[in-house]
Amino acid sequence: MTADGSDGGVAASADALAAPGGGPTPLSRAFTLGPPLPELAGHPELADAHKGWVDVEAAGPGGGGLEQRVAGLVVKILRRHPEYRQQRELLAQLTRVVDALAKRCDELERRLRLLHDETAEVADVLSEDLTRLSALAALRRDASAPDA
Amino acid sequence: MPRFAVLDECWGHPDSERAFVARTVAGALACHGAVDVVTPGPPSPPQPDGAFRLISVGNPSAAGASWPVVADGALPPERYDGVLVVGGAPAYPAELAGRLTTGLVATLYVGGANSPTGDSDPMSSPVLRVDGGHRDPAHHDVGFFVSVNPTARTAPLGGIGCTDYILVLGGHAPAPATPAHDPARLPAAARWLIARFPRRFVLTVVDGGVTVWRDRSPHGWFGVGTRMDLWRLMAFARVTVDPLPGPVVARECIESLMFGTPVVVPGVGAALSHAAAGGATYRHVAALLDEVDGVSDPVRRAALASSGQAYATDRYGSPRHLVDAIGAVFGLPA
Repeated sequence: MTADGSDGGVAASADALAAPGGGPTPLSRAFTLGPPLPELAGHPELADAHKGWVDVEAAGPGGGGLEQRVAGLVVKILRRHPEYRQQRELLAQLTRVVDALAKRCDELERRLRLLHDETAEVADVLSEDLTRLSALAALRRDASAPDA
Repeated sequence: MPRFAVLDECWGHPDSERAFVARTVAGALACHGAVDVVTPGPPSPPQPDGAFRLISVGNPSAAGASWPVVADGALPPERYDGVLVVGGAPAYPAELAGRLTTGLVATLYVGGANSPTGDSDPMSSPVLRVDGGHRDPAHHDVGFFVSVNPTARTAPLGGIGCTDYILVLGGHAPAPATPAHDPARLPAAARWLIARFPRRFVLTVVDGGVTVWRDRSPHGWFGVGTRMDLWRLMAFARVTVDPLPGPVVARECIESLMFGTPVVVPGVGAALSHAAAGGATYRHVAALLDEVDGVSDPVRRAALASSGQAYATDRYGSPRHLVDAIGAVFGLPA
């Protein structure tokens, strides 16, 4: 029951129960995961990244002015360049990867919470059962003691 | 106005239930007349102490003695209409009491070795008794009075974030100057309960603070600065466990019952009758765990809460009863 594997070295009597120390050792830190993390899917920063990619893919500058028509022409030419297409493809891929990672993080968070809950349940059941058994063992030990 | 002297060698001890009892009874006596409290201590002019006048008559003159040999000059010149000695044998200051009054000298027994039954069990006296002294050797069971603030029921203690918990009181060991959270200072009963009921909230009150436990681990620590804080904790508990109840009246058990919270206590001493009315007792750890589990049953808990509250209120809820009973010992009209 304790860190050293003993039952705490306590007698089962009421007097011993009033004394400080003895008995099963409690954990030193809170057994908790803390508040749930916000989901990454739909997170504002992720949404901004998606929007940025859409803007990149959108049509280039247009309009009636000479300067804007020239700029639009340059962009069209650049977009046909193999290296530029390669970078656009890479950017699209990265966006998809970030999206997948966000979903994976959310799934890991869900699984971690589930694991925590299951661990807590196992620990609680074990603690209940072991404490009951230890109490009975302490009682029997006291009853069989020579001066009992 | 009648004048009385109360002789008490432990007056004002902050961690002593005996001192609390003496002060309450002296307060009841003060409803009938002026009360001077005579106590060992460095001689000094009389000091006001609430409703009383505190007179220190010198430090004990011999090793092991509770009272000094008091010079006449250290005593007030007037004679009292009666003297109440707190404690009784073996440190009974009969000679001193005789010099203070020609009237009645009564002894307030506060349990333990001073019990009029002579029982040496330090937790054997479930009620206060007053020996009527020389004129009236009969024992008078004067009962006692315990007050709680019922508004403690209106809101739980801020910060703890739970109700319907198991409340474990940490005993009456002197607390450190600074409140602290130290699991090593938990009574063994608290550690057993934390381990046995990991799925319930267990609150332990030790060293001026309350720790919230769940899953066998600490989830927060908050200071308990006032009696009202403790009453709030009791009022919202499922059960109060007091492994070391007060030896004279088990004050915290009475207070818990007044809030309708059953108590689980060791099966000896002053708390025994309280538990019989509204709780359960244990003599070993297995019984402690079983009884706390049993008292948590809603039907049984409701029955114990009702009977315990009625018992505590009837027996300890009337200051008038204590005032009249003390007055009757000294032959004063109600």
